[in-house]
Amino acid sequence: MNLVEFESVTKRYRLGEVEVTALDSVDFAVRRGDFVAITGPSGSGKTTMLNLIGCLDSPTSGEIRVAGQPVSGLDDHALDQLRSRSYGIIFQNFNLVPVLTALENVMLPLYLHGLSKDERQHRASAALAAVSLTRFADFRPDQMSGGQRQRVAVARALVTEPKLILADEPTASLDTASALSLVDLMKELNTERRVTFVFSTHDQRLLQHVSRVVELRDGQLSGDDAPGAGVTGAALVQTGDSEVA
Amino acid sequence: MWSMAFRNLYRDRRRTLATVIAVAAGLFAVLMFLAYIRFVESSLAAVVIYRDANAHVQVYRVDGPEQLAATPAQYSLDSADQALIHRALPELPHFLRASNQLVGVGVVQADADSAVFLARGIDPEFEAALQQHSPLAAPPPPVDGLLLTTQLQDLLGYPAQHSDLQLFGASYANRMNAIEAPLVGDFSTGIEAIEDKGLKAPLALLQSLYDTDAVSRVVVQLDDRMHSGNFRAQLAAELERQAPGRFEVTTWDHPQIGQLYTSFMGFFNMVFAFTGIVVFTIALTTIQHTVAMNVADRTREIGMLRSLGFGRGRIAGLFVRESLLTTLAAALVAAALAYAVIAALALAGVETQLPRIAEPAPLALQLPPLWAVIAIACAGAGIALGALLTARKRVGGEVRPGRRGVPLTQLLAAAGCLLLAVPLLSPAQAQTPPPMEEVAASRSPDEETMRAWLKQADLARGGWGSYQWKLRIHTEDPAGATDTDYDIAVRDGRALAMTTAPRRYRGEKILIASRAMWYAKPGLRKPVSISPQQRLVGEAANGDIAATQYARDYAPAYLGSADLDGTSCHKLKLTAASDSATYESIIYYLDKRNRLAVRAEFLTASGMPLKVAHFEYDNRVQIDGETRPFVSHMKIVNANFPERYSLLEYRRVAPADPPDSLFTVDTLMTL
Repeated sequence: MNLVEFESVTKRYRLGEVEVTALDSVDFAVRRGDFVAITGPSGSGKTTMLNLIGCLDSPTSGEIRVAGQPVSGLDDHALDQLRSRSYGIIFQNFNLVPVLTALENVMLPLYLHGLSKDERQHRASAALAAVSLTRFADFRPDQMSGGQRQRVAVARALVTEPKLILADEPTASLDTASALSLVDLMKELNTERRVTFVFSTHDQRLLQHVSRVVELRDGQLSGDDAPGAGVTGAALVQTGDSEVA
Repeated sequence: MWSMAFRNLYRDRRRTLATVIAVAAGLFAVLMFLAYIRFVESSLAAVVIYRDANAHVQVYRVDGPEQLAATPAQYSLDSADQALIHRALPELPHFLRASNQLVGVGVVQADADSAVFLARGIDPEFEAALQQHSPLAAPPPPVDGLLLTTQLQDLLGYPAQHSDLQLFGASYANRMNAIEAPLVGDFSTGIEAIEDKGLKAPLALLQSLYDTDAVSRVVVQLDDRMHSGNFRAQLAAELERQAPGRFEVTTWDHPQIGQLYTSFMGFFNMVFAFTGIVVFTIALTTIQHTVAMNVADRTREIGMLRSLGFGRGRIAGLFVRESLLTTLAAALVAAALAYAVIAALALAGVETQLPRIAEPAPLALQLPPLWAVIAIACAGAGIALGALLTARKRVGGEVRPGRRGVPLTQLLAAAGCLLLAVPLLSPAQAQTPPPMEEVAASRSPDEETMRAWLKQADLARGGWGSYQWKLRIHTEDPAGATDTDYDIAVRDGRALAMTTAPRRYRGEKILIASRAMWYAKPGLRKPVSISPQQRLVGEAANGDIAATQYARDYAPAYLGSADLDGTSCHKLKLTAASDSATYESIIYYLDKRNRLAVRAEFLTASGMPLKVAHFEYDNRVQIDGETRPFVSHMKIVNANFPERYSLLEYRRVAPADPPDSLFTVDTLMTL
């Protein structure tokens, strides 16, 4: 079963007097264990697509199904529950809470899971260990490097053990070493824990490691190298990655 | 989340500090105003309970609080009432002591100066005990003389201490009476409006002035004023059981008793509510702006939290927590500052003038911690609600064309327009036609003619010439009926009335001479001068007992003709032409056939009817060989209470030649 399915999804925005079509009749699916990159030029609809996948926004038309269930009928509370239980999200600018330590930032999503403080601390520590940041647990974000902050963000996304992690330009704010390190980490999580990743990126360093590339152009799907997708985005990948099948 | 909210306050310390200062300033203002209200409240309560000696609970006859001033006799407590009340009181919890009190009005005179007094007859022992609980200083109550306020003494030319003053007033039988008592000290009523009339006397002394053993009320002191309401209810129930419908029990804050307290506390509470709303609005707006700025600064973080599954309410709750913490910090600052200022004021011994209180009082502000906590909790709750609404709206991130709130300025403008419109929308005051009395007849007699008519009417009532007669006045009043007999002698407008019955009043005299009036009785050292206002005492005014000279004392105006029970009359309006006139104005009806007065309507200064008199002329006197009619009966009815009237019966009217010496004040005491 697909984790997420788009069926003729269209999203339009109104910017003043002008209506902008961010996504135009997109059909798309994410399967469990996918490591999907959404790419395309600026304004092509990458972030809109991620927002729709993460149920942070709703389509103008078409249907989105998560685990086979349409999300259009879900109320705010149900959507909050869905995001809390099923998704982890990583942002380009990390979006850590600056007044909290790394450990507390990672504990934050668990607050909604009704766990005791000890349990939250235990699981957050494990997540930090998974991203090799145990010794930075008590550091606040402004005391860490960009790569370390993004690792904290990954740990925060992982801590609830979601089915799907969405990442919006996760390496855009990182230097090469940090970016490669993050890519390795995500890939490792994908292969070892079967965590599904969907992320938007322009970063060729990251595209070299993905198993599936989805290209957007002017709000339309111009390439998807998923088996049976009908369009291929393999040409976009300068160096193919055969490690992930 | 509380920890996160607390740490968020450190993100923009300057903004947090500015918010704390703004909210603290508002809360400080509220707390100080609250302390001042509390101070005023307790001071006014002390004035009402202790200084004005109302104690905590009062027992009156039913309707006594409203009616005592107008009809003291009818609404006073007789001996049996007093005994019943005093038996019931000790059985109730929180009772300390009780006492009888009598209130009354009259004129106090010292040598040539006189002034109106408002007296309270008290039990000195009770009042001394009552004052021991008072936070306000008060002189010891009078034991064997009179206490007068400084202002009243000033009106009397500062009579010497221990000099005898004359008190003059109407007895409970509505008769004139006077007593003498020494001035033994001064006191303050504590109420500016009556400070120039305050007089305090031992109860027995005042009872002798009003010639009664009745009292106006019984006052009850409790061990704490907080029990007043419950005690009142229990006492009222007990008295109702023993004497249904006879008594009315009040507490010190009853509008008729603690008028000063209720009126000013109502005013202060309103001012406090207004100030509180203004301060709260400022504080709320400050918090809302802070929340809005915080939300705007943290949109990414809010988006992140939403992506983690945090609902709008939960995220708004974070901002509410921050607002509450800010408010709590502000409250701590405000409370500390308020208590410090209160302590400093107490140390400095600052005095203030309380509303309508004559003397300055030490500014002893009180802020019970519970009051402070409640005020801060209310402010905090309101601010939390405001912060929640703002945060929910902002955190939602949607631009929704929801209902727009009406701006405060628009509300104020609308209210102003409404207020301005009310007078405009109300029906224009019609041009009220002048009363018929004011419309002069087309053929009005001249003043000389009218004065001649008045003199004819006066003649038939003994106003001119020399006569003597016997007068019986029968007075009907709900308090009882009385009959008094007088011997009257008149000579050219001067008159002497000597009481002959009942025996206890024998020897009382009223002299009218040179447009002045005096009263004398055995026991007084010298006659009491009666002011024009005092002549109105009794249903039959003292000025009515003796002869009248309307032609001399009033200016006539013709109001036309009127028909009274088939008698065609001239209708005149007489306006007082001298200070010595008994009434401000009179509507006078003269029989057109013989110029005898048929009816007189006595009016107050404001033109309201006071009394109505009807005259009969069955007496005949021989003057210069001519038989003339003379008044035989005069019925004077209270215009407002028709059941109260006096019937004056004139008997044995005869021309006489009383000596001039009979009509001089120098010989009045020796007659």
